[in-house]
Amino acid sequence: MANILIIDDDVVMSELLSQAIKDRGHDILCTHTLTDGIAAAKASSFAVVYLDVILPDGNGLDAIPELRNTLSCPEVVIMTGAGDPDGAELAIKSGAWDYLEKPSSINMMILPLVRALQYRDVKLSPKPLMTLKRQGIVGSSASITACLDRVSHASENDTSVLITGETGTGKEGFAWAIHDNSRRADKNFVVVDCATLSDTLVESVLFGYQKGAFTGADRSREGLIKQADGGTLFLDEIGELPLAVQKAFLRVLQERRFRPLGGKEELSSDFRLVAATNRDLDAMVRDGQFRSDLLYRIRSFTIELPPLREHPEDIPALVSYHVSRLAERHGEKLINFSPEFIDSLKAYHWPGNVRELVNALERVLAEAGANATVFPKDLPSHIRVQMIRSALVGKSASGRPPSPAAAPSPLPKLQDLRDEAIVRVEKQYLKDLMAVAGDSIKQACAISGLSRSRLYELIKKYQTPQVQAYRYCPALPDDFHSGRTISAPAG
Amino acid sequence: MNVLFYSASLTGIGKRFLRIVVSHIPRDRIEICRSLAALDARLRRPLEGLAIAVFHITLVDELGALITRRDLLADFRTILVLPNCDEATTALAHVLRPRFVVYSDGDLPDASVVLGKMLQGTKKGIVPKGWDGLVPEVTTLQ
Repeated sequence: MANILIIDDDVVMSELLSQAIKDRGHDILCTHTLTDGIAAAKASSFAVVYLDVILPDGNGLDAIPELRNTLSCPEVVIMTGAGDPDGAELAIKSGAWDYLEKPSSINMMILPLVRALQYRDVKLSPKPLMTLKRQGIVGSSASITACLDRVSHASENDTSVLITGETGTGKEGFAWAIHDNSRRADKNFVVVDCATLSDTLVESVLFGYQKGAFTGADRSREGLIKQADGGTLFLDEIGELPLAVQKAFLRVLQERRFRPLGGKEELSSDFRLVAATNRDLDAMVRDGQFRSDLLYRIRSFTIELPPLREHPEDIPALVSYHVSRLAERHGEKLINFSPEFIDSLKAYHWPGNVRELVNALERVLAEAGANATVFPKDLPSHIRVQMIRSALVGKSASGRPPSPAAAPSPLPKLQDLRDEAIVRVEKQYLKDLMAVAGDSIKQACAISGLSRSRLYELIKKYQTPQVQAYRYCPALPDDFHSGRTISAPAG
Repeated sequence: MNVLFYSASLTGIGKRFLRIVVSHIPRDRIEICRSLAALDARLRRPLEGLAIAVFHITLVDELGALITRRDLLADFRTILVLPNCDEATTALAHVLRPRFVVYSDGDLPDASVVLGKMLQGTKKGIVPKGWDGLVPEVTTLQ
């Protein structure tokens, strides 16, 4: 038995879904606004959350990360009457389990629940304890813990791994951790920096060459693929790999065999591939810059590293770890960090991520005297300027006119704007209509030009204060009842 | 962005590699260490400006000595110049996770290309900003 939460302002759908879930022996809680739903998710433990997109007080898609970050880390099933590919992509990228379009049959709505519960049974079942060597990966936030879980999982097998994340998030550190926790740890971890190898160089570096293979090849040289035999080959910035080399490398991945430049015989290499990139490889495939078959091969298992701004709760631990590490470089100093200093670090958006944080700390440490207490003023000026600008933009948004230098707020999608406008207008119209027509559905239909069924549909959809008195009664599917009598409900 | 150049021998191959570095970056942005003691002294000061290191290794023992300092070298993008391409030497070299490995008996043009692209990458912002403004004096540590 599991606890399930439904956040949907469609009362009819909620009732139907609730009943079907209850029939399967689970406990259910329904809320009709995002605020209530998030509060419920934080207050109790849920295995699965059914989440509508267009809710009276916000967009459900925006709430996925917050729901996933609650203690029980529930699986989120999105259900929407206005499905669109962009919304579906956003939902999945935000960690949703599934994305369903309404109306769906109840069975279609229940299937993701069954699968999600099966998945959680496996995922949450007690696993043999394994001590993971973190290799300098610091943090205990939900997102970093999830990444470490993936590292642990990856190190148990030989699947190719693709690590994605912005510059400075620590992709190489995670790659090294996978290697160092794997059965290959006592063999080579070979780094290939694809961004620094020219098109002509990358092939000879990867595959090696025989003497006389090209002008200047006055001796044979072993390539990095061979050097990674038994160990791990780490292709950093794999998006920079030239197309011609991608084709050759795909074959190596498939067969673990290759021929050095100018060589007559094929060599074998039993390497495990870990690749990393900060580029959108799907977009590169669409633009013809990256081979789809190679992407398919390297994406067997992915680890998406979060930018630091998405897990600021790890900043105190990062500061503590790196200050200890840097102390070796700068000599032992007793440094105190004022609370404002840590708060400032948490408030900054860190475009260069952990690497930028470490650089900033090193500068602060270098300039701090012994027994010093450091304040936000001790941070590099470009960080302080950015923080002050952000604070001013925040104030502008809260009522003051924005300064000309302030960045304009991003425009919403036209579809979202249109949907919101329609919801607002329909809601208001319904309120006015009920005020004019009083209890008479017949009169309301006559005034509005709506059919009875359409009017009922709108009443069901909008539970505005004025129409909340008309509550849907499942026993009388074509009617509404309230403390008042609705005239002419039938027919 | 500055370059740390380590070589215990600035004659022959060491000199040729230094010339390559100088061809990419002004001399006053290169910090040269000519001994492990000098390297230690440099690594114990703030790195500000130093992000790329070129290590010209003449003896395998030197490589072992660098490995004992690998925590201090972790923040560098490293090019290693190895004395030979023996399997054991290469395996030791990979412990330092170098971005590029070349050998003393050749590959100089390749090293030049890679260093050039590394410096270009740092200009493009692959290494985050925040380092500029503190260019050290011409430094040669004995």
